[in-house]
Amino acid sequence: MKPYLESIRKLSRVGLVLFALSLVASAVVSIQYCTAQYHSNVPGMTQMFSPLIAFIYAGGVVFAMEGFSFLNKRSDSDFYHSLPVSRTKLFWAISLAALTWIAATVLGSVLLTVIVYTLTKTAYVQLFTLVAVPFFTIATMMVFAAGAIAMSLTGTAITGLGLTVLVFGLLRFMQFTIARGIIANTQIISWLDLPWYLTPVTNIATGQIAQLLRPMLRQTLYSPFNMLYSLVIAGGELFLAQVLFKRRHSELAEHGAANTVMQTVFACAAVIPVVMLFASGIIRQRNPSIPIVIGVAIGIYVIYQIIVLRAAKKVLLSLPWLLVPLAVGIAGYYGTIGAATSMQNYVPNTQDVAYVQFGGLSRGSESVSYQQYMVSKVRFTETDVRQYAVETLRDNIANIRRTGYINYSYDAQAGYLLITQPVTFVLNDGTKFSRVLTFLNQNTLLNYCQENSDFMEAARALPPMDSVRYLQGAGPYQNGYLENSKILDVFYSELPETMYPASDSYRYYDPNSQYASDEEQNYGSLSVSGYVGMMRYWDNYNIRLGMPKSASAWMEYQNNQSKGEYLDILQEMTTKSADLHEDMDYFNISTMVYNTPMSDGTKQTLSFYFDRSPYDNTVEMKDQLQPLVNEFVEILLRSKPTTNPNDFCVFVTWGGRMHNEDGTFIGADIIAQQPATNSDGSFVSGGSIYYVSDGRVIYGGISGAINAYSPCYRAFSAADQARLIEIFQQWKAVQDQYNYTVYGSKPVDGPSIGTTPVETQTAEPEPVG
Amino acid sequence: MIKARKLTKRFGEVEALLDLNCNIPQGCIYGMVGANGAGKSTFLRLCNGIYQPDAGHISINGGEVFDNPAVKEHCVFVPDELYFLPQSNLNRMALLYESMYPRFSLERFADLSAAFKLDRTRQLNTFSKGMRRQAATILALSAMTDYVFFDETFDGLDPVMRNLVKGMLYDDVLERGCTAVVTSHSLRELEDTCDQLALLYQGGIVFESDVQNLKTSLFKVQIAFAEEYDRARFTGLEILSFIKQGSVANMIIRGDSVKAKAIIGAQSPLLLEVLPLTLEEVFLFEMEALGYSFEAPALKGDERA
Repeated sequence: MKPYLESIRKLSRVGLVLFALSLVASAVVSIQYCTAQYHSNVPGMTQMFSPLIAFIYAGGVVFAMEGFSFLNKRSDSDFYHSLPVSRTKLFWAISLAALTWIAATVLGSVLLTVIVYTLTKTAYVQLFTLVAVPFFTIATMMVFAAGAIAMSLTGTAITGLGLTVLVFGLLRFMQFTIARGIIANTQIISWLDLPWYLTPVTNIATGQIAQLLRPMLRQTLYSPFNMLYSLVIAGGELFLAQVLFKRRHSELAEHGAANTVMQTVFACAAVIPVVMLFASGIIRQRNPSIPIVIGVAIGIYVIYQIIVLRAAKKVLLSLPWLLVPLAVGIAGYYGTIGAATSMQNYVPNTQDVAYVQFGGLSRGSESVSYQQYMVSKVRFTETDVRQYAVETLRDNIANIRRTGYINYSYDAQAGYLLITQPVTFVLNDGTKFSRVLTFLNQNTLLNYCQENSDFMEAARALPPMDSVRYLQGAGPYQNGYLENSKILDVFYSELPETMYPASDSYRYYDPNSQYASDEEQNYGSLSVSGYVGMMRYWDNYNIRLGMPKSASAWMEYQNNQSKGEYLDILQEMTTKSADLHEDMDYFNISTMVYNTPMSDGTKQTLSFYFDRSPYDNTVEMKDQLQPLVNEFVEILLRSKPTTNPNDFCVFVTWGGRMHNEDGTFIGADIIAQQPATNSDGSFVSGGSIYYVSDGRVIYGGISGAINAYSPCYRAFSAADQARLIEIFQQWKAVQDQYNYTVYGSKPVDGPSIGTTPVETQTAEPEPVG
Repeated sequence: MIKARKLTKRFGEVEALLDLNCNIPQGCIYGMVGANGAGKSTFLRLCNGIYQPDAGHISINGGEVFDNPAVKEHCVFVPDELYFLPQSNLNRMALLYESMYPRFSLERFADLSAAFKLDRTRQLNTFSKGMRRQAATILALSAMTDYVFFDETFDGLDPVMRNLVKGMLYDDVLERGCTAVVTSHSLRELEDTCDQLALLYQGGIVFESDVQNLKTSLFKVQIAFAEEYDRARFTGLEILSFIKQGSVANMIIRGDSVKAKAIIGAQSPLLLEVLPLTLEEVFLFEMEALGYSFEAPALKGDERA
């Protein structure tokens, strides 16, 4: 106990400094995050505890270097080794003292972070708190253990530090390069599909570096398996360090290595990271970088040996040993190619596949959709799915052999239907392997998947309502959340009444219609994020006509937001836009038209766009459109807001900057009424603002510009509808003629507008709530 | 008792100690003298379990020392190069010693600090070299161990402090039966301190003796005769050195000085004078007698034969 307490005291100098620094950094980072104006999702572990990532390396190295610093100086080494305490006890006293300081620092930082998040009412994954303490403690102890091994093997601070890096990272770097080589050579394996012994994140300390290089690894880094694995490794390394410490010759103090053999071993180890580039797939045969890499390897080896051996003869005598790391590099090169080829060649028979699983396209992103998470757990035992997966695997491999890489661009039409999906094959004997496959037709795949009832359920699953933390990017205590929660409530209640999947990822994909027809017409989308357990999700729910109550709630929300559209100014600008002279003057109008009757009997959403500026080179077309736009705006003035998604209605946004004859801006009186600040409260000079029709000033811009971004959905009388259809027919004809659209919703060979008379309006959906 | 048998320690190709044998009895002050590089510090480090022998054994009270806390708690070492915790003072160091040495006496620590007039709260890195050595000595003596090892400790102390330390050491030896092992490259430092002396030369003890015996075992005789003479004239005497210049000769003789004086006197010399040797001279001549030489080659030669 006394040596332990003494070690605690000994480490207190650096311990207190690191403790204070970590707390300050955690407080600063947390406050910075929590006081930010906009959050779209709950933060991940990496973001939430980023100061502790730095602590893993700083803390581990500093505590090892400080705790065992006496080994580097003869007088200090003599003193400690003369004390009546066994080397084993001394080692564990220092290690446990370091563990105490590390755990205390991690705990303090985590608690402080949680306090800041709680006080600022910022959402966070509560389980992260429980995971973070052991995670960062174990990770830091891994670095400490590497440092302890290094300090036991060497006798100077510099060699100790260098050796710490080698002990800590050499094997993992080799593993990383081999993994990269296999991924590069197979082309159908992702970082997330590697077997556990090649996955860089099983070691959570080096995994932190790997996840910075490959962010997709972040998703699996914080798993309990990795923590347990790393705990075992840290324990093993500490045990090894203790054995080395016990056997260490005290006279090693102030010497880089015990003897020239060890020096040569260190030199070879220092060269290995360079030669392992051969295994990484970066360097190909006949690549001019091969001699460069070999040259750098020789250079490092010779310089290192010259520094430590200080005798040319000894350096020359040790040169043959350089062949060892070079051989490792060459073995790595051919080894990864061989392993990759072997993995690539392996295609099971369909009957040998028990089931397949689909990890989801965005599995490596910061947060996945809830449906994808649910689908990833579904086991597809259906023959169609298994067979399609096996055939696709075979086809992908053949494609790589044929073209050198995955290349299905030969059929433009089919190209739209290509989908890349990570697939896990589980064979009848329990063997499991994963590949990233490119399926030729996502609709075929969806068709097969829909044979599975679990899939159907998963694709329609919505996250528990109480797990939602952000709605439309607003937290539960913000207006944005409260204002949109009604739409979410309606969406949650209405979705189960339909057969729609929650996410568009699991809809049949039509590259032509783009969901713009009949009940697929899209009114808006809800962004929802939150967490379940430690799984953070981020969903986007498109609100379509097929869910009319939700669409109606959406329209109602939009209409309520629109506090003034100033259509009179729109009309004034539209009329005057035909004759713009001032350099900076401009005008544009964009219209989404819902439920447009089409010749094939469908109702579609179409978009129309018109703009003018003094130096327009499409005057001929604009002159043709101008009277149509003028009349459209005139009709718009007679329209009325609607919340019925089945109405033939429009959603018009516009913007412009125009001078009157007397030099004043059109709408100058409206601009003058606006508060002279930006939305974030920053000052905007008078008049230099954009104005939005819901009353919000969104950002400063050129003087006199008005942008109406938040209009109402507007419906028309029967007579106006008839005339509008004629206008849109002509407008579209001109657009098509000049290929002039903004949203691109222009069916190539689709139906035309309005040959069928507008039907009687469908009854408005029942009010919600 | 400290017992070394065939104790060997190598540093690469250098043999610091080779087959060293010695017995250091309990309750004495054992001096070890030798030139730089003779192996004195290596021997002390082996005594304190800092080094592991490459061959042979060293035991204290019958127990191997290396990595053996049960033995090491009876030993404290004051090395040539001292170590103190960074930014520490004497009180902080006392805390460290107290946590390691079970018999550490805070009372004695306070007494010794007062005797040496050292400020216990002052940072040790502000101390002079001598004061740091005093501080290390205070801490070592406060540990109340059975064995105290000083590596050239006295060399850095002023005469007053040296006497003070020696006095404390005598007290410890007398009152507690403590054993002190002191090394120095200067025999004069040890001459009036130690009970036993050993000469370390090229990794081995070449000479070991009780100080009192050593001082009286050899003596110098200055003689002159009217007639010509040589060393063959003095049969019955163990003459280690015979140097004659003119009619006067200087002899180094081992044995009883009274008896030797009587034998020579019986030959009616013109001059007969028995002179004591310094300890250093005794060592040199004993070394010569053993066939060792650690001085200039000029010491060897026919003149001395």
